[in-house]
Amino acid sequence: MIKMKEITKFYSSGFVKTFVLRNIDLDVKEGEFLTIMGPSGAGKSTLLHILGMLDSPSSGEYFFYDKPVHRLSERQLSDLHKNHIGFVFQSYHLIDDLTVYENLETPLLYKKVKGSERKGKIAEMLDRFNMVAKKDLFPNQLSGGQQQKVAVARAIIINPKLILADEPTGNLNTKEGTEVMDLLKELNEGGTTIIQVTHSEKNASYGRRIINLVDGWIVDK
Amino acid sequence: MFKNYVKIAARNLYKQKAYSLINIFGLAIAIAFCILILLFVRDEVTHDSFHKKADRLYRVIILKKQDDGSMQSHAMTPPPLGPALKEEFPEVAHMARFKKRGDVVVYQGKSFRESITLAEPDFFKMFSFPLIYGDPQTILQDRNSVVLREEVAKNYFGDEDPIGKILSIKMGSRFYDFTVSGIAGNIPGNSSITFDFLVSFDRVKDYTPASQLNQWLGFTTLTFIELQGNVIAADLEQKFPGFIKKYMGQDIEKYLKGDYSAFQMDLQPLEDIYLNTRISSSYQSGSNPIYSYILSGIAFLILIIAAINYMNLAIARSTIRLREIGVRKVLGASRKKLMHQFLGESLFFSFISLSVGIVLAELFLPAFNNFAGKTLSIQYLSDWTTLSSLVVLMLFVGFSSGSYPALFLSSFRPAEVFRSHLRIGGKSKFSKGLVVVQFILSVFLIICTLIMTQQLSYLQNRNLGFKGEQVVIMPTHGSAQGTLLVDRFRNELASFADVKAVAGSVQSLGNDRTYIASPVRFEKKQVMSHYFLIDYDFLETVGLQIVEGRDFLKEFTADPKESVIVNESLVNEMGWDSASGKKIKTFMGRKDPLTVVGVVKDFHFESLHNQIKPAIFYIEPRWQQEYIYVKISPVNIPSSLRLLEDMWKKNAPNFPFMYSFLDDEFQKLYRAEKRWSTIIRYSSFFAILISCLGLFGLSALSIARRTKEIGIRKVLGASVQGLASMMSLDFLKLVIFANVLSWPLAYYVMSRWLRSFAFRIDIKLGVFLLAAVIAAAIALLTVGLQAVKAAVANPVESLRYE
Ligand SMILES: Nc1ncnc2c1ncn2[C@@H]1O[C@H](COP(=O)(O)OP(=O)(O)O)[C@@H](O)[C@H]1O
Ligand SMILES: [Mg+2]
Repeated sequence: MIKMKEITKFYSSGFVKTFVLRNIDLDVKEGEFLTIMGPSGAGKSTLLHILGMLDSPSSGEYFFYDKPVHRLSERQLSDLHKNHIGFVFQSYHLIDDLTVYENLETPLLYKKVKGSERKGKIAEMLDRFNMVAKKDLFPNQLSGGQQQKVAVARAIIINPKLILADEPTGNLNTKEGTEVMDLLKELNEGGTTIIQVTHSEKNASYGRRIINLVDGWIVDK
Repeated sequence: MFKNYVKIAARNLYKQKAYSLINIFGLAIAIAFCILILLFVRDEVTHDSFHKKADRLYRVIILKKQDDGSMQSHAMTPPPLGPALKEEFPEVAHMARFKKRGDVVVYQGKSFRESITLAEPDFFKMFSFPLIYGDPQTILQDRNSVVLREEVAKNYFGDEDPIGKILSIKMGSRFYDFTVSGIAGNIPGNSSITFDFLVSFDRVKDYTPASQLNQWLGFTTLTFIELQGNVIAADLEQKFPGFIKKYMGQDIEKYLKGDYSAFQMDLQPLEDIYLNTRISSSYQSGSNPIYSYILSGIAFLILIIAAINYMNLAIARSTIRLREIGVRKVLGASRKKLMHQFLGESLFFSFISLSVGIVLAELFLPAFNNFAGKTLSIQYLSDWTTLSSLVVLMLFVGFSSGSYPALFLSSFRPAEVFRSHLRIGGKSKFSKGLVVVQFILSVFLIICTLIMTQQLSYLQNRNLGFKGEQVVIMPTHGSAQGTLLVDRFRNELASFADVKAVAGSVQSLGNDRTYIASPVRFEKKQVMSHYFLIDYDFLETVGLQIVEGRDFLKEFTADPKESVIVNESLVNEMGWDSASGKKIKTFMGRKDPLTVVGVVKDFHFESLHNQIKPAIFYIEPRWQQEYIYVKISPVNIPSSLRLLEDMWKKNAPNFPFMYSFLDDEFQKLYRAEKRWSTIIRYSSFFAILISCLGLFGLSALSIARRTKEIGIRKVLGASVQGLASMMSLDFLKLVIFANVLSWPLAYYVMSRWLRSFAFRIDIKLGVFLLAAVIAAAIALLTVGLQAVKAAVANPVESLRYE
C-alpha cells in the first residue's frame, strides 16, 4: 500500500539546513497496524504529515497504491487523501464553529456525498459512538475524550483505507485513552490500515509493528 | 456545502459580535456617507438637466468691459434684447424674458410678502415645468391671470379649487386683481429657475416706464432662448457682434465714444448656470463646483479607507481561523473550495454592510438635507446607476477583503498551519502606511474644523461698529407711503418706554442688494462710495458713533437739501485732515454740492470678507423710506414686538408685517461658510471614526500575533502597564508621523480659505497641537484598550497550546 524510498525533509533557515527526516525507507502493507515511536522532535509528526499528503518531502519517492505521490498535482493529492485517508490529532482539531453533527458532515460534503446517504452515514456514526444526544453540541461543550471520539468518527466516516493518528490519546485520561485505542483496534480488525504515533508502550502494544525514529533516522531497536 | 458556509458565517457574526459589529458598521457608515455625498454631488452636477430641451436652452449673457480692460459677465440683459433676438434670428425658436420681484399679495383682507415672477408666454413651451392645470400654449398671454405653484395654492386656498380665485397683487405702487388660471406642479429641487407666482411678462409695464423698457443700456432682465434643433450655439454667437452694432450702435456712439468692444454677447447653456459662479446674477445663488470636488474627494477617501480597514479586520479575523483552514484541508477541502468559502463569507458581510449603510443613509438624509439646504431623496428603482454602482462597490470590497484569506491562507499546507510557526501579516508596512494616510486625513479635517469654527465665532463676535441685537428692521414693501409710515411709527411710539428710537432708511443694512455704489467727487479727486439714504435719528437708532461734527438735526432746515455725513474710510481715502465743511459732488441727480457736517466712525456694513469702504449718508426726501428701524430695550422684547405688530396693522393694513433683527441680517451673510463648516465637521467625525476602526483592526492583528510573546513576557515578570504601553507606543508613533505630514497641508488650505476674509483670525500653533492631542488620544484609546486586555490576560491561556 505504502512505499517510501529515501524520503528526506529539511528546513532551511538562512544557509543552515535542518534535517528532520533522513533517508526514510518505509513499506506498509494493507491492514497493518504500525506504531511510530521516538523522542520529541524526532520528526514523527512530520513523517505522518508526509504520509497523509499534508506536507511534501524535500526529496525521495513516495508511492501510495503505486501512485507516485511525489509527482502528483495538488488537486490529485487532495482527491487521493480525501477518499482514502483519515486523520486523528492529539488536539482533536474539530471546527469550533460547527456542531458535532456538522463536523461529521463536513468531509462528506467535500466528497460530494448525496444528502440522504450523508444523513444515513452520520446517523450510523452517532449511533456507533453513542453520541446521538450530543449531535447538536459544539466541540467546546464536550470533554476531551468525547471530542477525540468525534474526531475519530469524523476520520472514519469516509471509510478510509488508511488512518493516521498523531498521539491520539496524548490529551486524554487513561479511561478515555483506552476507549480510543480500542476503537482503532476494532477498525484495524475490520481491515483499515492504521499508523499511529505514540509515546506510550501500552498504546504501542496495540500495533503489530513498531519503528523507532531518532533525529530523523529510523533506528533498529 | 453552501448552507455549511452560511452557518459558519452567521455563527462567526454572532460569536464575534463586537468584531463583526465594528467591521460591518465601519463600512456601513462609510457607505452611508458616500451615498449622501453622491446624492449631493449628483444633484449639483445635474442641476437643470430635467428639462427635456435642456441641451437647446441658453441664457443670454452680456460681457461688459471693466476699467482694467477685462470682460465681466453679467446675466442681466437689456429688456428689448429678447424680442430683437427673436426677430433677427430664425435660429431662435423661442424666447422668454424673465424677471422676479418681491411684492405684496392680498387675499381676503390678509396680506403676504411674496416673490412674483414675470415670464413670457413661451416659458412653458421651453421649460419642462409641469402644469397641473392650464394650457401651456396660452396661459401667460393673458395679462390678468396668474399661475400658482401647487404648494402655494394650498397655502392660500387649502382644499378649495384655486382656479378662478381672485388675488390682489401689488405691481409697483398699485394693486391689481389677478385670476388664478393655472397650477404648476412642484419644481424639482435642482432647478435654477423657480417661481411661486407667475404672471405675464407684459406686467413689467405696471412698474417700469416705457423709456426704460426700450433702454439698451439698462441691464435689468434675464433672457432665455431655445435654439432650433439643428443650430449650433457657436454659429449663432458669431453673428452677435453685428447684432450689437445694429441695435446698440446708437447708444455706444453716444455714450461710449463708439467703443464697440465695451459689450459682447454670449450664450450660456442652461445646465452651466448653476455651477458657474463667475457670472454675476441674479435671482438664484449658484454653487461653487469646488465644493463638489472636495466633497467627492473626502467621500472617496473615506470609502477607500473603510474598505481597506474592512480588509485588515477580515485578515485579522482569518488568521484566527487558520486552524479551521487546516482542518478543512485535512478533511479534503480543495483550495478552490476554501477560496469559495472565504470569498462568499466576505461578500456576505459586505452586503450586510451595504444594507446597513443604505438604512443609515436614509436615517441621516433629513438631517443632511437640512444642513445642505437641499431636498434630496434616494430613488432606488428609477435610479439604477446609484444602486448598481453600490453593488459593484460591494462586490469590490467583498472580493478584495476576501481575497487575502482566500488566496494566501488557503495556500498553506495544513502541516504548517498546525505547527503555528506561521507569521501572518507580512505586509505590515502597507498597513502602517494606511494608518498614516487615515490619520493625515483625520488630522487635516480636525484642523480645518477647529480653524473654521474659530473664524466663524470671530465673525459672530467681532464688534461691527454698531449694536444690532435690539434693532428691529421692518420692510415697507415698496409702499408709496413709506416715509409717512416711518413718521407715524416715530410719533406713536415716542411715548413707549421700551422703544428707544425710530428711524427710516432706503437701504437695509446687511442686505447688499439694497446698496447703491456710485462715485463721490471732491475737487479733482473721485472716490467710489456706498450711498446710504437715511432719516433723522438713523445713526442713533443703529448705534453708530459720530466722531466729528454732528448728526442730522431737525433744527438745521438745510440738512435735507445740502448736508451729508461721511464715514472715516471716505475721509481717509480723500486724505482730509478735517472733514467738516468740505463740499462734495455726487452723481445721484440732486443739487450739488453737499456739505459734510459730520463723520461717522467706521462700521461694517458688508460682510467681513470685505474691508470697510467709503460711505456717505444723507437725507433724500424724494425717495420713499423702504425700511423702518426701531431700537427697542433688551427687556420685554416679545411685548415690544407685539406693540410693533399692532401698530403695523393699524397703519398699513394692506401690507404684511415682517421684521428681522439687524444682527440676524448680518449673520445671514455667512450662511455658506456655516454650511461648509458643518459639512467639514461631520466629515472629520467620520474620518476619525473610520480611522479608529482601521487602527483597531491593525492593532488587533498585531496583538493577536504577539499573544505568545505577551504571555512569555508576563511569565518573565513584565507589568500590565509596561506591556500595554509597549504595544500602544508603536501606533502612537504612526499618529504623530501623520500629524507632521498633515500640518503643512492643513495650514496651506486654511490660510487660502481665510484669505477670502478681510477680517480673520491668525492661525495659531495651538490649533495644530490640539488636533494632534485629539488624534493621539483617540488612537491611544482605541489601541490601549486592546493592549490592556491582552496584557491582563492569563499567560497560561496564551501559552497552553504551545
Ligand atoms: N516549519 C518548520 N520550520 C522549521 N522547523 C520545523 C518546522 N516544522 C518542524 N520543524 C522541526 O522539525 C523537527 C521535528 O518536528 P516534529 O515532526 O513535529 O517532531 P515530533 O512530532 O517527533 O515531536 C522539530 O525539531 C521541529 O522544530
Ligand atoms: Mg509531534
